[in-house]
Amino acid sequence: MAANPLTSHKPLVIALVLSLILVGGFATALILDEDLRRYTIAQIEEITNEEGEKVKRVKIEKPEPNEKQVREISRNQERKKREELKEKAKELRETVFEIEEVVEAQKKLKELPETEWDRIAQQAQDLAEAAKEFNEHLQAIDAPANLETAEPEAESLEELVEEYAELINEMKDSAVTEEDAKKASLAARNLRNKANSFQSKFDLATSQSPTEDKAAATELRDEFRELAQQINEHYKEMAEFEKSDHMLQIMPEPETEETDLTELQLDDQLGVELTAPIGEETPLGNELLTDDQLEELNTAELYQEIQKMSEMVDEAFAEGKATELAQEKGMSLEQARDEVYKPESDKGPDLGNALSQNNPSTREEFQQFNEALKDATKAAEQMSRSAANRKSALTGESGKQGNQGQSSGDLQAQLAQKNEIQAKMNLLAQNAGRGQGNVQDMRGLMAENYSLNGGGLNGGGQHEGQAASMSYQTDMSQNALPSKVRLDAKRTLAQAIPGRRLDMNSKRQGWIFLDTWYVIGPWQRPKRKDSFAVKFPPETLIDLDATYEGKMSRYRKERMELKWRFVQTENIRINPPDEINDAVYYGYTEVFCEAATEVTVAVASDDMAKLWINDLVVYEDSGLSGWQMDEGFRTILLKPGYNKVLIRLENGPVVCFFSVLMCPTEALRN
Amino acid sequence: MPRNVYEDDEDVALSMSPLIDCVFLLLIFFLVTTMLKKDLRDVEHLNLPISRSSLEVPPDESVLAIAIDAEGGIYLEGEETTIGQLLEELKVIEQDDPERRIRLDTDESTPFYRLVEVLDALSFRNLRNVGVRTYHEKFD
Repeated sequence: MAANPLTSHKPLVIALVLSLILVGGFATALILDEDLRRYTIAQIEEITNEEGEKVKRVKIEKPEPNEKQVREISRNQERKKREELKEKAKELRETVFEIEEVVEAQKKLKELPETEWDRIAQQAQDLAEAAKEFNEHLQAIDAPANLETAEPEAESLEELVEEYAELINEMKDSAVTEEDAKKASLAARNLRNKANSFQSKFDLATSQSPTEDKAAATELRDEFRELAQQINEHYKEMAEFEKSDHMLQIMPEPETEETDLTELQLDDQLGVELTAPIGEETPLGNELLTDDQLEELNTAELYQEIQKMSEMVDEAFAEGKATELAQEKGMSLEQARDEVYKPESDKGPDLGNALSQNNPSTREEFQQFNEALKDATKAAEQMSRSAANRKSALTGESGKQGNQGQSSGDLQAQLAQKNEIQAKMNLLAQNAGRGQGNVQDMRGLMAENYSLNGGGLNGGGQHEGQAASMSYQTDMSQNALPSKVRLDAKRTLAQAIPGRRLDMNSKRQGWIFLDTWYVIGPWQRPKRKDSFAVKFPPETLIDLDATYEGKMSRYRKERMELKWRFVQTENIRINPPDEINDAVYYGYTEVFCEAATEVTVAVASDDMAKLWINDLVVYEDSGLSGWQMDEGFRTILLKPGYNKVLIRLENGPVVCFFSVLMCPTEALRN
Repeated sequence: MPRNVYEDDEDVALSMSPLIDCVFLLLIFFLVTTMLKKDLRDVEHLNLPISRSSLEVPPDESVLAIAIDAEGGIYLEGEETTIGQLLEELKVIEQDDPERRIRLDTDESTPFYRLVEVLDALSFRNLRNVGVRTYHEKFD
């Protein structure tokens, strides 16, 4: 009889065997594997509820990975993040190199005296040369005959000046001590007295010279007057120097000069390759690592290296700004370094310890390590970004497009050209002495400046697709601008619309006013005529997160803490949030353009204002004048993308406000 | 030979109870293993304003979370940041994905000027896909 499938024991036996195998297998696995034994699906925990009863409840947990897995995961994590860090390190290295190259070129552009004493020595040398020249003129055959009597004395004066210059230059070679300074000052005073007594005698002699010699005599007299004045000024500076503590500082070794030379040669030979440094010194003598060296670093070292490079960027930036300042004001580098504002970028937290031990055995340790990794990459990202910002602030370039493939010669030529453009723009920017409603055309200069920067065309890396070689010249309509514009204040007030984006296709074409600003202040307004010469931190670098010390508060008798504040108004005129007398404020905003746009700007202020657009001075109005909407017009060129607008506002007495209006020049013509 | 007890049984049927057992087992399994994913980018000390008119939107991983707390501190994706850094970040986002969804989480007592500041920054960077997150009893 065939077994009835329902009564057969076979399936039961098979099932039993199968379950035995499964259970046996699982049991063996449990015996062999410790991790499996520790595996928890859920935990029962005892908690006390609101009524004070003890309640048991099942707490379900994510399976805990075992030690090996945790280590594996964290190692993978680290590998990934290390790649990111390496990228950032390379970016930073590039930036350090580029910044330092620019600073170096800037320094070479104009020979700047390293220390105060160097500057004085330079002056003394100039004096000696001027004295010599004067003597030559005096002894020339066509010099008035009655002045010949002055010759011996002039000669002795020349000798004295030469001796003096020699003395000062000798001291330059060794450290200048207090005694040296005193001696030099004494010599300078002696020189001044001689020069003054000679001048009075010489004046008398020239006034007595016969009429036919009068012209020549006056010329000589004026020449000497100038020389005497220089000597007087020099003496004043010398006296000041003697009182200052500069002389206590030991002179730096002239080592920098030598590196300059070698660098110069390197630059000429390598040209392009220098921008991709191969683990060598930067122009300012910092050591940078090569790609291979970077590869070998562990995460903690990599992070520290990034912090170090960020520091280098700060230093190079401060040095660059000091050089600019020194060139502008004719001071020594040393003094400029003291005066310049040195912004410090955020170096991120110190994670050296946390990153160096990647061997977590518990969940907490793993989490800590992960947190540290995350912080490190974030900080590195931040540092790389602020370095790029500093670079663009220093060079006027934006984004990643650097000055690749430029030899230092090119760079210097470029800088020289840029300085020239800036000088021209400064002249055009002045509003004092120009009538109300005057129009100055700055398009050409700005176009030149933008094309110089190359990369600067793509404002903030925007519109990368556009050809970098796009010529701004073609954008410019050739029609001449009107020399004067009148603005109907009432109508403009009614019609001007707020905005910060200029759209060519927009139907609303007309005056727009910049309504959104970040404003900071007040700083103490300098009590001097050229108060714009005193610079405050925002002119060096715009950092919306920074805090500064400002004006002394009248009530609390301490310096105010300044922060950038957001100001948005419906009104054309923008007020700083808490205006006070005798103060300096800064306003910062950005303007967006889709394409390079010709724009006419009308700046008006109560009292003084200076406007920069993309770091170029566009408008400068000194004098405590009241607000007039059409104080002056500047026709400028905005680049595609974001354009930086910075305004400096100075308040004399009572109220202060400013307004910046813009109108596409095209719309103004129609 | 034993007598087959089932031989005369006419209606052979499957019992339902093991099936139900299985279903319950499956149900318990899914209940136990399902984890509700928490939004890691949330700022914990934020007390969202209550709104009756809010709409429920499906959670979206790609949404950019910007939060402003009661003191005016700004958080980007749950991490504390500053306005300067946020402006930079938005510049990058504008280039990468101008249509990206942005979620603004604010506290009930967040200073309004701070909200305006962030909204203005977003609009200036041409990021228009912005939503404000509120608390609604029905959804939370």
